[in-house]
Amino acid sequence: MKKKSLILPISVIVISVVFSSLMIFFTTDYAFSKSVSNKKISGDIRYVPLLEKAYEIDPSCTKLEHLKRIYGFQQICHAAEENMFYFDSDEIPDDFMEKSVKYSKLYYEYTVNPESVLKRKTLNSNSYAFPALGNDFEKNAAFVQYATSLYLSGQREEAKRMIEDWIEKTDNEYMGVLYEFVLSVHRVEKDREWQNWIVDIEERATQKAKEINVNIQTDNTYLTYIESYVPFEWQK
Amino acid sequence: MNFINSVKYRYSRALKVTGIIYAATVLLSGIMIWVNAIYNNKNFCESGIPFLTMLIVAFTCGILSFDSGFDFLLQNSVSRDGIHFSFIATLPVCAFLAVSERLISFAASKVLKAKLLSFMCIFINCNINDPEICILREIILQTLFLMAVMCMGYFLVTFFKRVKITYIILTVLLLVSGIAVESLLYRNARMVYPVYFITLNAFFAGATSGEVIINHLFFALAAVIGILLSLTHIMTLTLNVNTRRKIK
Repeated sequence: MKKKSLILPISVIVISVVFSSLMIFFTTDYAFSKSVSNKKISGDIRYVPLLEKAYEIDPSCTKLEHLKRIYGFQQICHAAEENMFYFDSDEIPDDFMEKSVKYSKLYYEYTVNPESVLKRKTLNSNSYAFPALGNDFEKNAAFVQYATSLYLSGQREEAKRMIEDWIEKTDNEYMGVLYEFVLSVHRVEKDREWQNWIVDIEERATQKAKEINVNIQTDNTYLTYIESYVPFEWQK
Repeated sequence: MNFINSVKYRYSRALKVTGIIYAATVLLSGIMIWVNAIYNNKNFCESGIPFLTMLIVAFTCGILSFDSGFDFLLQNSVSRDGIHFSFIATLPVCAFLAVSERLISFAASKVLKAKLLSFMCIFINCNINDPEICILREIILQTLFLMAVMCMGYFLVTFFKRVKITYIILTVLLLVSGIAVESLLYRNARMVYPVYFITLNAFFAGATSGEVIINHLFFALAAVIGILLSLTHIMTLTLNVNTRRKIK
């Protein structure tokens, strides 16, 4: 047997194994899930540009979900007091809110029409891969998150229009998702006029919610609303 | 006997051996589609059954390629490299099988006047309403699947029939103990992920979330084919001739 002949198959095996390992550990959502989902890992910020690039090349629901969470407006609202900032740096990146709006919008569009964002279907997107699909509650929550990101990024008038339209048009049972907007925005808002508007829409949403949930006793201040909030049957 | 003749020999053997199985599976798949369509009373017919039968044909073809080829070709002065490359030259048979699967499914849908619902189309999340792109992708992917299965058959029969029993037992023990340890850990601690499952899913599908990333699947299958062919190449280069077996 010529030993030279073994060079070809052995080199093919080595290339295939190396290539497969790279495929598994660096190009799949699994790698990103492992690295990004642990929010307090030091040095996480290194993965974020990589994740964004990966999403551009190959958009998928898992990557979008991570990006939406990383650039979520909750980061700004809770970071200071609860130390829950996903980035290891204390400083908020300059384009943070811009990206927050971008990814929350993409996420909302995805919940409405997944193919518009991802341009392909998923095998079991209805159940495991992405629970948002076909879920009206998630759709409304995504809309409110998008509006919140818009508000916090400075586009208040646009957010105001969206939220008021949403309160008018949406079913009473979904009013609960507004608490996230009320809480987050009220926390950072300094202008008295806008604060009054937030309390006002909170009251309007509470009035609508009361029509189907008699357990809500108060109709003002978001805090009492949350304390008395009893989940609906389908949310349990 | 040169390389060209050995390829011809392999093709003739492959066609002879698999011809009967092929005819039988085509007939069987036709009957299955028909029964399935009547039983389910739906306005579409699925192409899953013909594809699965083609997988069986490819696997059989792979299994029989080794036994019918190795000793005979070696006795007829074909080099060991030549034996291996002549097997690789028979892999395009898979493309023929993939195309014939499409034709069988297409014919069945026409006869039943039903819409063709492709098994692979659902699997790779192609848009059913965009058939031109879908058919090409499907045929390429099916060919790769069939090639992987054929190589698997060739590899398994080579490994289990010709490699020393010690190595076989060691390999089986290694695999079984790995799975057993992981199962025990998963069952008792509930802390360990099913690593095999996740790795396989990530490797073939490109994600653990249930998505199948189509380009990823192509590369994964290519890698599997490469590894299996290389392993059989090494075995072909190192195996002794089986003197216990009479050569016709």
